[in-house]
Amino acid sequence: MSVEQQTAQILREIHDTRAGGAPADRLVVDCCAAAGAVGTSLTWCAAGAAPLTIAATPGVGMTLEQLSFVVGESPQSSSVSTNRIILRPLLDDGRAEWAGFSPEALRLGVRAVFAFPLRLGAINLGVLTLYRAVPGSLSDEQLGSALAYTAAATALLLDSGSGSGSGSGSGSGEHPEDLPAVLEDPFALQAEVHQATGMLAVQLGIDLSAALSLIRAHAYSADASIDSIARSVVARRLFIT
Amino acid sequence: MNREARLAEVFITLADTLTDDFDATDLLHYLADACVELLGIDAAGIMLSDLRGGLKLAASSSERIHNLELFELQINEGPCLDCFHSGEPVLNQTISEAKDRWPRFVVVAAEAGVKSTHALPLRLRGHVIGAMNLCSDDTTLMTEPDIALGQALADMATISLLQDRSIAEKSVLADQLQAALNNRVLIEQAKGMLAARADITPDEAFDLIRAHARANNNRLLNDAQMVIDGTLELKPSGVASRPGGANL
Repeated sequence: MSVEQQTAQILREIHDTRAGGAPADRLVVDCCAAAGAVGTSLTWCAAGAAPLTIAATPGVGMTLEQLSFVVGESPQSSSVSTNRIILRPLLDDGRAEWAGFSPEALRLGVRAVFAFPLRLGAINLGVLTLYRAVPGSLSDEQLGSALAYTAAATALLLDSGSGSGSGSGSGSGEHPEDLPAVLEDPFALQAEVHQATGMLAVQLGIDLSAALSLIRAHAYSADASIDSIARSVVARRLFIT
Repeated sequence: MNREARLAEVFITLADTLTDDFDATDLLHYLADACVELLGIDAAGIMLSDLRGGLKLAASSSERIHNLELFELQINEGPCLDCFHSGEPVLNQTISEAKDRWPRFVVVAAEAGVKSTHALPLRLRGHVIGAMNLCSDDTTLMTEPDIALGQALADMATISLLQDRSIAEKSVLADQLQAALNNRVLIEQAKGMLAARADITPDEAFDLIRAHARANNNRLLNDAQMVIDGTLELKPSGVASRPGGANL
C-alpha cells in the first residue's frame, strides 16, 4: 500500500462515526500505535494565534504537549519555527536542546522524539509530535505511517475550516456524504490547486489556508474533484466567493 | 566561454551548496537548464520521490515539459517512472516506436513536439530519490559522452540536494525531500497570488518572479516568499504603456 492510499484509509477510519470519538482523538491514538510511540499530540498553529492542542493521547502525550506551551522551547516549537521535520532518535544526547522540556520528557521515560510539521507551501497548520520510549530511528514502515498520519492530520485541520467557516465541507465527518472528498490527500494535490489557492487568497483578501479550505469545500459541495475546481479557478472560469 | 570552462562553472555551481541560503528548488531548475544547454536536448524535467510511493514534479526547463511530466504522473506511465522504479537509465526511446511501452504517454509527447526521450536516475548510495527526463525535438540519438555527462550532472545535483554526506537514514532523506517538494508548493502559491494581483497567468507570474530573482541574484524561494508576504511587488514589463496599468 502506498502512503497516499494509507492516508486515505486513515481518514476513512477516523471519520467512521460508528467507532465514536472525535476524528482528531482517534488520529493521535492510531498514529501512536502505528509508530510504536508512547505518546502523540496534534497541535494547531494558526497564523498570528497562540498554539492550540487539538488532541493528545492520555498520559505522556498530553503531559508533554502541555509542558511544551509552558516552557516555550520544545520539539513542537522547533518544528514550527524551522518548518522542518525534527528527528531526535536519541533525546539524551547531551545537546541540552529544549532545556525546560527534555529533562521532564526523559523523566517520563521518553527516549526519542519526532515532530512532523503540517505544512503546504507557505501554509503552516501545526505539528504532529511522536514520543517513543525506545531510543533509535523510526523504521521505514513507521516513517511511512508517520508521513501518512501527517498528511491525514493536515487534511483534518484544513477541513475543520481554519478560519473560512463556510462551505458544506467544514463539518469534518458530521456529514457522511462528505466522506469521499475528505479522503483526498492534501500532499497529493496538483500544482493548479496551489496556484488557485494563491489567486483566491488575493481575490478574497483571506489567508492561504482559508483559501484552500474554500476550494476543498467548494469541490465537496459541487461534487467535483479539487483538481478540476482549481483548474477552473486558474483559467478564471470559476469565481468562488 | 569555451565548453570546458562552462562545464567547470556548471559543476561548481551544482556543488556550491555549503551555504546557509542553499535552495533545492533553485538547484533543480539550474540542473534542468544546464541539461538543455549542455546535452544537445530540448527540454528537461526533474521528478523527486515523495518517499510515499510516488514521484512529484520538482523542476522543469519549460512549460511544455512541465505539462508533459504532469501528464506522465497522472497516467502513471512514461520514461521517468520506468527509470525511477528500475533505478536504471532509459535511453534513446523514439516516441514513434514506443507505442507498446507507453501507449498513452507517446500520444501526448508527440502532441508536445517531442520525438525522442531519455531518463536518468537521481541516485544516492542505493536510494533512488528521483529521475530526470530529457526530451529531444528530433530523433538524433544521445551520444555516450552526453549520457555520461548527464548522469554526472544528475549525481552532482543529488549529492548537493542531500547536503549532509553522512545521511544514511531514510528519515533524514524524508525531511530533505519533503522540504524540496514543499518549496515547490510555495512557489505555486506565489505564482497564483501574483497572477491575481497583476491580472496575468500563473506561468507569466512565474517568469516574472524568476526573472526578478535572477536579475537581483536572489533565491527563487526568497522572492516567492516575499510575493506571498506582499513585500515584493512585481509588474509585467510594458505595463506602463497599458492604460490603467496592472490590476493591483
